[in-house]
Amino acid sequence: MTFLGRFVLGAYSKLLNLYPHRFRDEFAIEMQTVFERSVMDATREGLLPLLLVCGREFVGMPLNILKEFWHEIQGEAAIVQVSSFVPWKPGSWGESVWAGLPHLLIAILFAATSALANTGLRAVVGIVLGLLILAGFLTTIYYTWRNRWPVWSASWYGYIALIVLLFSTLPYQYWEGLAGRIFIGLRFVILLMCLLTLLYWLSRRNPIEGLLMAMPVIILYWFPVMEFVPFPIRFWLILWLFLLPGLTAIAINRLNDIKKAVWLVLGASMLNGLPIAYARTYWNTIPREYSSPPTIGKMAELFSVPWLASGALVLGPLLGWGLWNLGRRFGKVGRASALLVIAGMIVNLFGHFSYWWWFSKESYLNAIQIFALYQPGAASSIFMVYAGLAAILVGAIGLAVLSWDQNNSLTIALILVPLALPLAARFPTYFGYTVNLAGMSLELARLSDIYQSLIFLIGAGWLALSGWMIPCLYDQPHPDGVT
Amino acid sequence: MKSESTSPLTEATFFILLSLSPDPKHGYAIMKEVQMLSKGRIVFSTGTLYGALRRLLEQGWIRRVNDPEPNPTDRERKAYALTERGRRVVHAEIERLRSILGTAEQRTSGSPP
Repeated sequence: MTFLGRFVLGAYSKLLNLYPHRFRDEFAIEMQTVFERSVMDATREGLLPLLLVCGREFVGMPLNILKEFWHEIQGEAAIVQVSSFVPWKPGSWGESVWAGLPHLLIAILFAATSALANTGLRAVVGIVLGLLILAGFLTTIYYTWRNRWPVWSASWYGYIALIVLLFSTLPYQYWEGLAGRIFIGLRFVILLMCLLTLLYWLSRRNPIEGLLMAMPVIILYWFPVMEFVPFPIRFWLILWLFLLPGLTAIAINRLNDIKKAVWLVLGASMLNGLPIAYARTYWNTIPREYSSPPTIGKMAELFSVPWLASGALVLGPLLGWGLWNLGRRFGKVGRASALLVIAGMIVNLFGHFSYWWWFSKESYLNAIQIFALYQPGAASSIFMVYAGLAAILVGAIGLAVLSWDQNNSLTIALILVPLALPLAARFPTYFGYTVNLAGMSLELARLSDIYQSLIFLIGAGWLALSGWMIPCLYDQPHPDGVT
Repeated sequence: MKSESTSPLTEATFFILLSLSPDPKHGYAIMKEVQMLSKGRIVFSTGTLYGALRRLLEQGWIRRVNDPEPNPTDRERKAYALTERGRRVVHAEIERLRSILGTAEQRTSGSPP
């Protein structure tokens, strides 16, 4: 065979590695044999036929690979649907430690660099530990790619969100013209991809992996609350902020049980958030003339909003997927009802977001110009909130009616879950107060301390209840009767 | 298992099934046979062929069998054969095409359908 032929065959055998594992295991040897025959025959006929064979193969390859990945995703989704509550094999202790390792490494990195703050060793230790973490990350990517993405690897991938943070530290505000616009767009795309990946993992692939992946994102929610907390206290809070998720990730991987995993994640976030909210409320360094007096209501706000928002990040996709599977049991009407609830949740969420962006023009996310289009406070976001709420209600009533026929009281209770958040947000209106939209802590500041505490208590209660109820959706029998 | 009522088949699927209808064949032979049957209109790349074979295996229209022409110098080769279900699908598709052709011939020859 000619040099060109040998080169092409070598390249083809390497490129076959890009196909999904299952496909590769089943067909790679045969494909290589067939391609080898094609190349040998073409070589005998001349250069042009050889180039045609290679062109056909390599030009079509990206599309074929994507097709097979898409096929795998659909296949996996079917497997998750059937076996989402068949307990997967718990991870070994070794695997569980690997699941907790990224959090623990970052905790060590943070502790070491803080402890050596005023010494010349700080930079050296920081660089060495940073390189170790990077090496660990790259090794994990390679190892997990070769070993079918084990559950523990999701902990490492969660830290991809850090790329977005690193991006945001670039001085883009000084960039003019196209560069600035490209950067803003790129940051938005990366952020969106991170969120979509999380959504996919939580809902369609493996909820436990999704929870592991979400933990670094949940950690990030607590950083803004720590602003104005004095250094020595802040040091211990940040250390705790990473150590606890590390231990939680180990426990989640070891138990491999979705119900316990949801509670562990919410519990870890609560145990992280309470001391942070307390420190920010009572030990902050803000001068008296600029700060409001420390109250229980203030602390409840500082704790509940990030806890609810980060909790909703994991519970929302689990709820959406669970309701979709529930709706599938009742045919077309059931599917339509479930879709209506899910669409309502999304519209409602965007309504709240747009309103939030209005209040936080200086915040990080508001730099993304596309959202400035909403310019709410205005009718658009309020309309979205209420239209979303109406869709949730209609869809939920549809599911309730269908479930009623099936005489399944648990199902009826479960479909009330998505209603809880908007209802909780509307709660202050029953007391005659003007609170425009959910999640708007600025408006809540008008309320007296006891009512503020009450509202946040209801929100926290909703989250805890949802954490218990939503995994029950995964207990429901499969539409085809498979349990 | 997916539903059997997938008619009309794509041209590529139809020719793959047709190429297997007399006897089992391995991948390269299927590739060549389809090219010949389609008079050169359908030329598979290896990736496209095996993607299609995978789906046909999953649908239960074809199955793996021992290679009818084992070659000791070759690496391990698998051959593919039509299942009973696959054979029914091919016949149903041929009937469908025949019916369309019949209608078209009647219409173009001037007689009522």
